[in-house]
Amino acid sequence: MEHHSWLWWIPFLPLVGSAVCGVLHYLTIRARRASPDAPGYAGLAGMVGVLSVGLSLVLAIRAFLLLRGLPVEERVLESTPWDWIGVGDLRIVLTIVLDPLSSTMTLVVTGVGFLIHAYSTGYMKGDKGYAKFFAFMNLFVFAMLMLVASSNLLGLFIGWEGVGLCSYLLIGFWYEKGWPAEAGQKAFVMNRIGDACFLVGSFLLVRLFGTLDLSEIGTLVPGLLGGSGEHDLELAVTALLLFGGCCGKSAQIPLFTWLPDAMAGPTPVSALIHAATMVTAGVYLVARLNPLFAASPTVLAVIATVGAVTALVGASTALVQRDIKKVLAYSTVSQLGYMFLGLGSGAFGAAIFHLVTHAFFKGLLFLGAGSVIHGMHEEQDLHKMGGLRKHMPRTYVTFVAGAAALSGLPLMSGYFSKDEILAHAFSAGGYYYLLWAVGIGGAMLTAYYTWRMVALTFFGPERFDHHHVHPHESPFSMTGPLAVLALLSVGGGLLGLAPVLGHLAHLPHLMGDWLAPVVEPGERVLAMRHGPHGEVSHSLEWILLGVGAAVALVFAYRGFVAYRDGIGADERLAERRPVLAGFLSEAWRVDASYQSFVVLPLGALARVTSAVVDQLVVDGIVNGSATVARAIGQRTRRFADGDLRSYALWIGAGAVAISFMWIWS
Amino acid sequence: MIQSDLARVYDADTLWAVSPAIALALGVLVLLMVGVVTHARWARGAVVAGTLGLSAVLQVVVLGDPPGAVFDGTFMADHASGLWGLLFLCGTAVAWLYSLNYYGEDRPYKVEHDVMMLTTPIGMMLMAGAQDLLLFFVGLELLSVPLYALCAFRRNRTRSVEAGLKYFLLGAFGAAFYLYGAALIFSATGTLSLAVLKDFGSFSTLAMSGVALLMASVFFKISVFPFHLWVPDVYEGAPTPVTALMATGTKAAAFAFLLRVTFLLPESAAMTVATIAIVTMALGNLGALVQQDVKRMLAYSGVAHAGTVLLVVAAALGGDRQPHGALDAALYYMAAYVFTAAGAFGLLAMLEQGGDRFTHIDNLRGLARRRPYTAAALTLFMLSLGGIPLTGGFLGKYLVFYSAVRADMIGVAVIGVLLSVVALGYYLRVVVALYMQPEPASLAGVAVPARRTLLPASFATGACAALVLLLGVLPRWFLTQIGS
Repeated sequence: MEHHSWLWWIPFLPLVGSAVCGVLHYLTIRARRASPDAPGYAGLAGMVGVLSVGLSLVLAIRAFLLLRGLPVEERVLESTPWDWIGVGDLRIVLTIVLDPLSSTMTLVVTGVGFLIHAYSTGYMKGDKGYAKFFAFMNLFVFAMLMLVASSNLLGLFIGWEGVGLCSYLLIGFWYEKGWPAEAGQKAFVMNRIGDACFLVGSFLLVRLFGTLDLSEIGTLVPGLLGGSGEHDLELAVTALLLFGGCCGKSAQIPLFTWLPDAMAGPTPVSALIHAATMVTAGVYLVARLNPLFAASPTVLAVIATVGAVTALVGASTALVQRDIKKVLAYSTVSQLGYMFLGLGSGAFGAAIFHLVTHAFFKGLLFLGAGSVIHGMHEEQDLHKMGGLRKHMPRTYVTFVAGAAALSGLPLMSGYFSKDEILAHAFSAGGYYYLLWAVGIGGAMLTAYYTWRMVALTFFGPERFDHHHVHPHESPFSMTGPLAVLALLSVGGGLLGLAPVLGHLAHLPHLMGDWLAPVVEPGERVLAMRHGPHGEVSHSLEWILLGVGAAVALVFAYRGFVAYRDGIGADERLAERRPVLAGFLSEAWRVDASYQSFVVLPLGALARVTSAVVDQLVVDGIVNGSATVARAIGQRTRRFADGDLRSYALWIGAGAVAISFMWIWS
Repeated sequence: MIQSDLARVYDADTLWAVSPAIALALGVLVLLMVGVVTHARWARGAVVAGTLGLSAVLQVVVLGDPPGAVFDGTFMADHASGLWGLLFLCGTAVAWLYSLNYYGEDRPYKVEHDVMMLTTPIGMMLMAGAQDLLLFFVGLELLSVPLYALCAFRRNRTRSVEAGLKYFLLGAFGAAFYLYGAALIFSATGTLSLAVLKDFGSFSTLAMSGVALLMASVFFKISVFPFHLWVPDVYEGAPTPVTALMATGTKAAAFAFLLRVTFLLPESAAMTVATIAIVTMALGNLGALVQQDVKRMLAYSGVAHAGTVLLVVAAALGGDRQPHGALDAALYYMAAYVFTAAGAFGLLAMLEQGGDRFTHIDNLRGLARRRPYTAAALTLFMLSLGGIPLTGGFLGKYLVFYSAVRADMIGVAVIGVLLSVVALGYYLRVVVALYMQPEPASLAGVAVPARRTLLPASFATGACAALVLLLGVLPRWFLTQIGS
């Protein structure tokens, strides 16, 4: 273990950047107050925002290289500790710790974050909240880095809440439109439901292990497994509660409905927060505490089931969306489902691998969609696009690369990472065969909706109004990051070639080897609980790879052909199967049922409570203190209502009630 | 007390132990004199600030070496009462700073206002340190009587007078419960001293009824269900700086005493207390959810917070054996709450300087553009009330729920955490209004009051905001102070 105080700068550089951008925003407002057209400090803020994340990326790379230079079992870098809380048996020390998993995450966050920041300088150009935007984005990167690099669950929680807060601020960034602010609030409240589970889970963790240090918890888990299994239930409940937190943050069933609404924010926000980084926090948490989750077969099965079902629901909903960002949002929900399927199958490394490739290709697709929206003057409806490949060639090429990776076309990054997850699910056997089948079904839909989206955007007749819309290619600040991400999406598979292919190409599974020391404890626990994991034979592996490739190719082709010539297929579906189309487009009506089963009753309860407190109690009881009221003055209607008497009555009744309860207990 | 000899009671140690309260009392007298001699604002301000400062310095020195039980064992000047004392002084100082430019039409009576405000912390200190049921009552009245008058201080406003009268009538009602309860305890046990009562193994039915009535009265002051109904009306009607004082100081003082008398309750009462806490949280949060007036919303939120911190008592009864666990959690929670709520109410008071229109949530819309600092501070306070990490409110909540978990009250903790999720909904509405909604047309021409008149309030806001952040970012220092 090595100590490096500079590790603190990895999260803190973006924090400093955020503060500077905030000041610049304030100065800009002041300058504009004097003369409305003043340029303010927007350009400077953009530079600060990009540079702070860029420098953080440089440090993250430096840490990565240092780590790689160490022997495998010693690959942990630690910052100087910050003694945060000390009370009784609750002692919390915050430290930045980089092991292979955290290092991977910091590289993704700062790397993809850097590209998206650079893209934003073009995308947000001319926005009056330009500096504010970068302040929020930098703040987000800070919180996300705290989340992935904290040694302690409470430190992680600081980041966890921080990213939620930034997500909320950024979803509502364009509040003039009215609805984004509401969408932001929905996202935050839904996340808080998950956070409540998370917090309670953390209390149970302290009770079980006496610590919130993540690596200590990992090493202590095996000790609780022996004997008669008296801790099994507690372990399972704790893991499930933490997983509840992950469901909120990573938009899994039943808490996924906020993510599509979150698309109201600017597109770079969707790319960074709602595709590449924040929503993967749940996946990170499960991977980080892998021994804890591995300890209970039931918990793993729950995670895998939630993941598989979410993957299917998300993919099927994406089939019929007309808004290009909604397609990508449901696609993200679905891909996160795959990651949880992987975690639930015990394939922690594979899930993180998919997280990384997903950050590349989904970040790319969102940025590409942003470029399209930008070029189309804020049009997001697929039915009003078409034929854009002539107008936006660079966006078109990179978008197709991303689509190929998402749909899992052979040899693309998404192909390897998704198939690795499915192969693990298959090899887990038993119930998992069913989940594997669900996963394959999801893969079919994924290929189909991805190429539907590509066909509707870039092919077919131009369905937009040529008088008002003049599609144009975006500037280099936007297409540059697209190109980099496209390369990563296509070539990212090299990080983790399937073993049989790697064998042929003499390439090791880089990602798997790199993450091995982190996932090894979980795999050991798995072996303790389930016996040795079933190995996949070479011939079976070839078959699974073949099935994955075939499914992707066939359905990508069908999706593409069905929509190559226009929106006819959508119209036919809506005509012949209106119920199905409606059901799918509303995401299986989950949101509507929340509205009727949760939101409305809660609102009604609140109103009734306040009515009871404010009026019923007040009005219902005889109004007798009129004499007092008259003595005081004219407008004392509320007195005459007799509320004072009823308050006194409640106090008296309450006193009597607690007397009886305590005397008789 | 009667047979003890006066010289023994009033020795130097004793006077030293209550010196912060004595300083306040002397300050009150000086202030009355000053009020007769001169109307100069600065003279009055200097006396109040000087008194609070002197009292705080004395409190810190006393805290360095707490004398322990004094006044023949009726007053406990220990570490906890010292810390509570400091908290009361801070709360009073903040409320006073916000009140400086708050009143427009009642300026002639400002001396009386300050005199009453300066009297309240004396009462709070006596309550927090009371080891005798009678001494607590003296403190309670010393706190309450000035507050009754302060609530009605805007005497030409119906709402204010109404609030004062309501608070007075119900407060008197609550005090009657207290006295009757204390009388029952005395008749059953023959003592009013907590130290003596501690040695009783179990109480007779008579004593237990006394305890229940006593608790009802304390619950009334900390405003938990079903003794909380007066809170929204009174908090809304009272002048806002007074509300700040009531919401923070009174609650903290009653809570300090509640922790001292928790041992009177049997362990089986844990579930009742937990239920009261949960119901209070539920009613407070649900009530706050539908309020359109921010002051009233904060009043309901205060009820919910009282419920949360009551969980500590339930946990202490229910088997949280962590030494000082309950006290640590309660002190931390209340410290965070005092600065957050005082700041939040204070900011409303500050906004009201421009007229009475500002407490409605619609009038806060788009405030961030007109008054960025005020909006930023109000946001911080809302986040702290909602329990977001790196604010004091988060850690307070965490310690409270953690204490409940240690006492094996997992279900209670879960419901509590879930309810605090609901709470965030209404705190965020304020933030949304501040930052994400356009300014209402009716407020377009409203000028920001002159900077000079905002100075004291700005200072108080800055101090509260800094403390809320410090409590969240560097909790260790505070916890060490509490724990030592």
